[in-house]
Amino acid sequence: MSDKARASRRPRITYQVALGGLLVALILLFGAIEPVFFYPDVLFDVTSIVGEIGIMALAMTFIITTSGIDLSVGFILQLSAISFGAVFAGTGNLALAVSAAMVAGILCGFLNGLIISGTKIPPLVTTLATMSLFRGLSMILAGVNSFSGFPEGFKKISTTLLFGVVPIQFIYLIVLFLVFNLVYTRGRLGRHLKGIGFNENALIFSGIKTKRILLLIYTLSGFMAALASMVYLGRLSSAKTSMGNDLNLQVITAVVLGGTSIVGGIGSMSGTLIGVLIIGVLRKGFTLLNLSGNVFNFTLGLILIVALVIFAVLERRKALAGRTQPAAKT
Amino acid sequence: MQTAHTEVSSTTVLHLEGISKSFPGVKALNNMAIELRLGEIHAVCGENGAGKSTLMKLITGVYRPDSGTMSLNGAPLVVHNPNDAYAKGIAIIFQETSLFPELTVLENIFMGHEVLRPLLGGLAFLPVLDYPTMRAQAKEIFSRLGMDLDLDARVADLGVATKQMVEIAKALSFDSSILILDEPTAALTSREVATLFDTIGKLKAHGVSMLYISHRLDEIFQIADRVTVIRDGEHVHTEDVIKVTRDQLVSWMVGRTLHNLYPKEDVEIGEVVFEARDIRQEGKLGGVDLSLRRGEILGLSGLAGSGRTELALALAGLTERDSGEILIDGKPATFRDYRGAMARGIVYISEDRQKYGLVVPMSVSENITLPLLHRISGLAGIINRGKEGTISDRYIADLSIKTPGGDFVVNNLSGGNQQKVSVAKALAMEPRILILDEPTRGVDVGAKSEIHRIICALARSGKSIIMISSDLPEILGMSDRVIVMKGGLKVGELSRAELSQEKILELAL
Repeated sequence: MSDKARASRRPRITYQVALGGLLVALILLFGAIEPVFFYPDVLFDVTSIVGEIGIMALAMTFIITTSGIDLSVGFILQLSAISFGAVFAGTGNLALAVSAAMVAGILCGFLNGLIISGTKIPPLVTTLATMSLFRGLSMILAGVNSFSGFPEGFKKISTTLLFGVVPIQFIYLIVLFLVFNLVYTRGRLGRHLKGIGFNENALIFSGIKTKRILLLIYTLSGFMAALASMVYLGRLSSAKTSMGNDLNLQVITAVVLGGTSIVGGIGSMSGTLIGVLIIGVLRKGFTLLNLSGNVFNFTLGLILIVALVIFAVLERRKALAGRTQPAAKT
Repeated sequence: MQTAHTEVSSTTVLHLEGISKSFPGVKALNNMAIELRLGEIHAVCGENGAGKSTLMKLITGVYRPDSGTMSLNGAPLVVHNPNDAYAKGIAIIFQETSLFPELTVLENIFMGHEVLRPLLGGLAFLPVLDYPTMRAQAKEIFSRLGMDLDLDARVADLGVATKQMVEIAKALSFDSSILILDEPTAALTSREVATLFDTIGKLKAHGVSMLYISHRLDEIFQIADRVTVIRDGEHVHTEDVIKVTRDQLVSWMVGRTLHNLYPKEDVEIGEVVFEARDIRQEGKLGGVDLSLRRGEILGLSGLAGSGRTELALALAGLTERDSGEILIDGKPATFRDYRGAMARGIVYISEDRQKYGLVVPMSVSENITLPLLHRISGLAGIINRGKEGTISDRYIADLSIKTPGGDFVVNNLSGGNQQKVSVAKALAMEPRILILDEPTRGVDVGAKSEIHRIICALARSGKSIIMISSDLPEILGMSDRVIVMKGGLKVGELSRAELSQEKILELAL
């Protein structure tokens, strides 16, 4: 490896490290204000409350790397949860209910993928439309009802604590992260995703079926949202149509904050993980400090804007310095 | 056609001295100097990567020099950005036009500096576009250019050459006194080139000073007054064009004497390996037949828009054909897309390497292995980096791609080296039939002859090549056989013995 190539990559690594620093600083800050934050069970609870968004953010990183976006994930999660609740209420069969949730998620993602890969309609508009579609469908299915009374065994998928403090979501997140990170940094798919983000034409002219890849990742996003809905339901123990309403923004903020470029090509799975944890720390911290959900939403919007502006300025600086974009590897 | 070589004025309009500019790892310009005089056409030539583009970007404010001085009409010149350059009367015409295809000629010319008038007398805060004034100004500019153009035509409906005229008119609408033309003829047919030169002559007569960048040496002799040669970011020579010879110019550019530009060697031509019958595509191809033998270089000539690229895309399965048959080794081939064509050994290298050929922000090795990742990754889809490195290192060495390493970003390489990466990527797929679309477009003399040598070596090793080119000397020098196209049809086929520039042009026009 040449020094030049290494040098062109160094800034990206420092960004992720800086983000890690921010995470630690936030923990210290909340701990200083409210020492209870340092209790292991409180601290680890962060990973339990971000279980859902973490799972969805991994797939979202794939999508944003291709310069796409999926605004519908929160509502796919909702529809999956409602499907689960309705089927369980109707049949009492847990396996059937889980299958229903999974099928619902996969179908929703497949629909997104079909429209995005088959037409030239931008992902932003497509998923904005399907978002309303999925949301409307769960409303029709559930009405004002909420579904609850799920078996204890099912709740264990989200309430189990390892060694008495570590939520099982932490393990889910780490295992899924390792798989996604490997595919992203070392896999053929990861390489293709970055290529699509930079220049889809060049991939088509390399004989790569980019439409198929897009169909795959939006379907995957739907599947991950269904998975996330299970983890979420296990924790909340009732399925209702208010679930998932706020999750889109959290997922996208985590990914963008993590350093994945909204214009595509560049990204970082570890950045996404840190971004997810930062959002979890904020949520937990704000709850401890009795700050309202509105303050949290405000902060989230602020973070997203600041992250976008910082990246836009960095890109501009680079362009002015006469340099080109850094190597696509992370 | 305009013949220049008139007396050069002694008034200096633009003067650059001691200019240096470095990028991380590359010294693009070193103590560069150039002097542009009033009303002269000053050609700038040099190999790709010599620093021409960087020089132009300094003049137009895209970059700032690290050191050195620039002056305009005797006063120090600092250009903050391209708009600032426009304001100072310096305009650049790029190879690819920067016009808005959906807007009209008039709207394009005044984009960004529209003439406004108050909606109602005295209501200056409610300005609207003043079309009559803009129309009159545009008419005046075109009459200066000696052209009559429909100002309300949509730019998308115009030909490449006309678009370029619009671009020049746009530059003139800023009252530009200095015009930089960057490879303006790259995409033009010879007839269009004549019109362009005519326009350039008229501009010169109006006292516009021009920097003219071109790889085509003939053009320099045709229109330029003086020529500056750059090599490795340094000023080599500035001389009156009448005082230099072609060979001299080439040797200044490459620092050595190039003897044979077209090293075509005779190789044994084998059996027919590829055959296309009656390839049709609605509105593009009207039934084309073609056959290709082992070791053969088949030239595909014709004007831009004659269906050459369309044919190539159809043969490679990159576009769908309405009807027609493709045979490989005499047996019908049934592939339906490019992936299928690649599996049968057909590879296409696009004429537009930035748009279709390469992912320029990615590294050299990532680009070379892009189409064959499935071969170097396991069942789980994880890329074997060792194999990846071996493959890319091999082709970097084979094609002598000048890069600090396989993981260097393609964007930072010169045009010629980028083209070689494009070729390397194709070769890594180990094709039997290679379709090269304008393989040396925008590539300097040195890299050009290297690419020609590579093509010859491929033919010698038994590969079959279809080479599309607008460069007639290249077609004449390299091809065993030439097919001439016009209007989506094959209008002629010439063997090497029958080849001549006149015959090809006669068929193509």
